[in-house]
Amino acid sequence: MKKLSYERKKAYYGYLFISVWAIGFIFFFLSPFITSVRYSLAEVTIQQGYVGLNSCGFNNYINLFIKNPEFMPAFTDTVTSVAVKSPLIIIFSLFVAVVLNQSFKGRTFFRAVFFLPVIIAGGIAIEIINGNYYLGLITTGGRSDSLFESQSIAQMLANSGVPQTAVDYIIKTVNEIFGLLWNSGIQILIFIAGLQSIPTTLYEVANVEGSNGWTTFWKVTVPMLAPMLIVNVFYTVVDNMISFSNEMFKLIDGYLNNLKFDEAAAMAIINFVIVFVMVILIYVIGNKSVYYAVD
Amino acid sequence: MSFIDKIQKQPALKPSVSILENSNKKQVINRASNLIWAIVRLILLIGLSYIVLYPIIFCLSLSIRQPNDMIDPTVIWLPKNLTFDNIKFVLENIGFPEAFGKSMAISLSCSFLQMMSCAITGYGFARFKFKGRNIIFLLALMTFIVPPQIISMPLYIQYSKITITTSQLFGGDGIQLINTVTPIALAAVFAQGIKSGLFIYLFRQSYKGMPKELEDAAYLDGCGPIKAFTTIMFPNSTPILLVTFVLSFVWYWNDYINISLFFNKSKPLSVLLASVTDMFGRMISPAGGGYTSIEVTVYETTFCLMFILLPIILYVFLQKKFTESLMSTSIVG
Repeated sequence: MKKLSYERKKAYYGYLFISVWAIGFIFFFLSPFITSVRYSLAEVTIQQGYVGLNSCGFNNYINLFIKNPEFMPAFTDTVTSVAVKSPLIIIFSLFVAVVLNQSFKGRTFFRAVFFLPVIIAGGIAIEIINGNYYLGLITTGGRSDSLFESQSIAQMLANSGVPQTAVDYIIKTVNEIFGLLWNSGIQILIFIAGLQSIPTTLYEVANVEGSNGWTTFWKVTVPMLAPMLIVNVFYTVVDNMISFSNEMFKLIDGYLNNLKFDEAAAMAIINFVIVFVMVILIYVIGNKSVYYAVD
Repeated sequence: MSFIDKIQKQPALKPSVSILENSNKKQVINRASNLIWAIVRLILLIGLSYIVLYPIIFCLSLSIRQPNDMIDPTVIWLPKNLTFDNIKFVLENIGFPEAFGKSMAISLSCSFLQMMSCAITGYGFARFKFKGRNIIFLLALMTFIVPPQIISMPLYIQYSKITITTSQLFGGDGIQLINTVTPIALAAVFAQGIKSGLFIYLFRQSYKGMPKELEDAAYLDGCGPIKAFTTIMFPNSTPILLVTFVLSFVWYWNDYINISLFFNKSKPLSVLLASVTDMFGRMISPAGGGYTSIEVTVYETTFCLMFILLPIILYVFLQKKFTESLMSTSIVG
């Protein structure tokens, strides 16, 4: 037998190492994925555990967009909430990361608090608590309607001549701060990691050149963080699009429980296509505008 | 800033008196603004921490009060009568212990399996050059952006089919796979568990960051790649192993989408928690009649607290190591 070259041999070992994943990918990802696509293109009937497929082209998709009364609201709600929330989460987590990266007493404690949502968020518990704490506050003598005394602030703003739509938007954002905080644990972590990897010499140069804090932030910190920024945008969009708490997923779950596999599959695939397009967009825009210090 | 300070403190420069006075003034202003910023920062952080911790404090407060305290406007955080009845109620009446055991079994086994399989895969992507590596790696990342229902729904049908065909072939009930750990564990064995794409990515990053000399030495001493991995690289990657284990444990613990599909009769904690409102609606209280909505709220919130308690305890103990490891692995971008 001919002896394999070192390179070839290593390549075979590479295949060996990823073979476990490859088997899983084919049987536990690709084949169910294709099956789901087939379901979404057919009428699925289930009789005694047998799945009957009656192919009907893109009817399921068309029905979802035209006939289904629940889909469009859930769809627009999900997409707009991701579009509104993601930039806020990014800006907010960048701010918190910059603050938590400074050295002061009690930093470890505050870091621990801000990373806590990584452990708990995304679970069903927080959904229920979220629902309950509004209920709880309403039943507790009707003191206030939410975490903040936003009602009185809204009144004040409206009285001082701010247009109602602006007031609504502000109040909505303020009320969502809970969701923002609870969704930005990983992002804060990634930003802090990025901040720590910026060489201090850059800041010293900026200082010697007479740059103030604000300029330094925009000319040194932000460009150096740009790769992390892209990672975070990517993560935030995916995390919010594929999350138990968004309207579309609740709808899919409901359809699954009623064994409407065809429409559930169609919805899930629409969701996937949107995430896919968003990810490609982020990648293209990111690649064009980001400066990589390494590589 | 330190650099400027150093220059100003150089005695060799012999600055004129006016410059010295100037720098003194600057220092005072600097110090004052630093102090103000420190105070503002502290207030801000305390406020934000309060929002983050709010649900947990809320749960805690609700779980130790009597349902009557809910409608008492004088009770805000501290209940009038401390009681552990709610916790006792949840423990005894709705099958909490069994569900807890089931969730524990699922999370422990699956996160361990996922950690192993993702480590092996990540190492393969990090250290070996083979044809199509980048495309295959992109495919591995792709699994991360696919909604889990797309994958779990056909699998569910697949596994129910297995039950039916085996029962027809061999008689009896056939091989039951739904309501066991098998479907979820199988996916974890083959590196297709919850968010496995992310873990493969993290492992690849951290193995790429480890010095190549470690393996070269092992190869010189006559190790093959497999032995080099099992005896040197794997044991030396404890930080990322810890991160993976903790994160996947917690994500399996919290998971509802997959687990609710594969467990419809025997309920792990997350499924039980989701169905608990309905359950209370159907139950009859000892006083006769149903439970009031306030009682349901209190019990449900108590359940939530007991559900998130284990991840929180885990986090409190591993917090420092966990965040350090996660940061150090995500740096190697």
